[in-house]
Amino acid sequence: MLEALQHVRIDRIAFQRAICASSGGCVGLGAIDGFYSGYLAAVLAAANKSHIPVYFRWGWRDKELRPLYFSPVSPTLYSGATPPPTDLPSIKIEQTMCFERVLRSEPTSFGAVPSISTGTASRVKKAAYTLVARPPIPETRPTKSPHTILLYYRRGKQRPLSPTRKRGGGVFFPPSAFSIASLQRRSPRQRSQRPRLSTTTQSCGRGFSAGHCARGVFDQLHVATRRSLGR
Amino acid sequence: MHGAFLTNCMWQRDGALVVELAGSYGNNEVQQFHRLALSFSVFYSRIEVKGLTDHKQLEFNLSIGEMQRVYDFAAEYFTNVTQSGA
Repeated sequence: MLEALQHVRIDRIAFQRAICASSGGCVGLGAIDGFYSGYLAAVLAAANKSHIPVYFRWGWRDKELRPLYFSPVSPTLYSGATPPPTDLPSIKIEQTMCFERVLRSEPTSFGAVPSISTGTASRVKKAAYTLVARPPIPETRPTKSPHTILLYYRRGKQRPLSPTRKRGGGVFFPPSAFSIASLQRRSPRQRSQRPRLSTTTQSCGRGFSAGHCARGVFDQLHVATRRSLGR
Repeated sequence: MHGAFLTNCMWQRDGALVVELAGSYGNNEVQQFHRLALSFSVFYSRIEVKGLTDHKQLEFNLSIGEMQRVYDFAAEYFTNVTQSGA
């Protein structure tokens, strides 16, 4: 769809089934509000086709599809789906096998991702960046060398490990994301020494989630790296 | 750790790095994320995690060696890619 929108005249998009309709983790409108709303807004904006309606078939028995618009001028990124300004008629599904063209890739077993051209990917990405007030990760390209990177957890490592937090049916939500930060200069001698993780500090035992476990390890990385820097 | 979560690598800046912690079980969908990252000009590395043995597993342990590999990928990336201005 990314590629076709760039090169083919398209006046509507119809999803024969709602996105993620059959997967237990992302059923319903949450999948649209959480990801696909912004995704479709970016994809359509990249092709200057924000005005075309997108039809979803929400239920497998539904015969009528009702349109939505995904526009970058929506109030927020998470409510990008808006009803059409005019009362567009719904469309009916009919049993037909008629394709103007088929996009496919080799190997054909898993999707058409390789068919996305570099230019299309770049345009979609740029359109997506315009949808958010600020790119989610600031530019951190180093301006001087040499540098090393310290990986650490945002929360102070002095605080004790808290129990794994679970919400929403056992899905793990870390209290905050890992960050890659603190680019610091190192001497040539220090650069030749690869920081090693200490195996004597806390190991990741049972009952800890991956994120929780990783926090301890990232703390170790932080300590090990600082030790290698002589701090 | 893939699926919708890893799909967000398509929004990363050109030349960024994504490191996937992949399960030790066979899943051909893993190939998709490598292709997705490449299509969107993102570097991709994959680490097979022994503690992740099932697609529906909610928790898994990471060994020190596996986290060392994550660090090594990040260090190599910053040494060879960002400093060369790629």
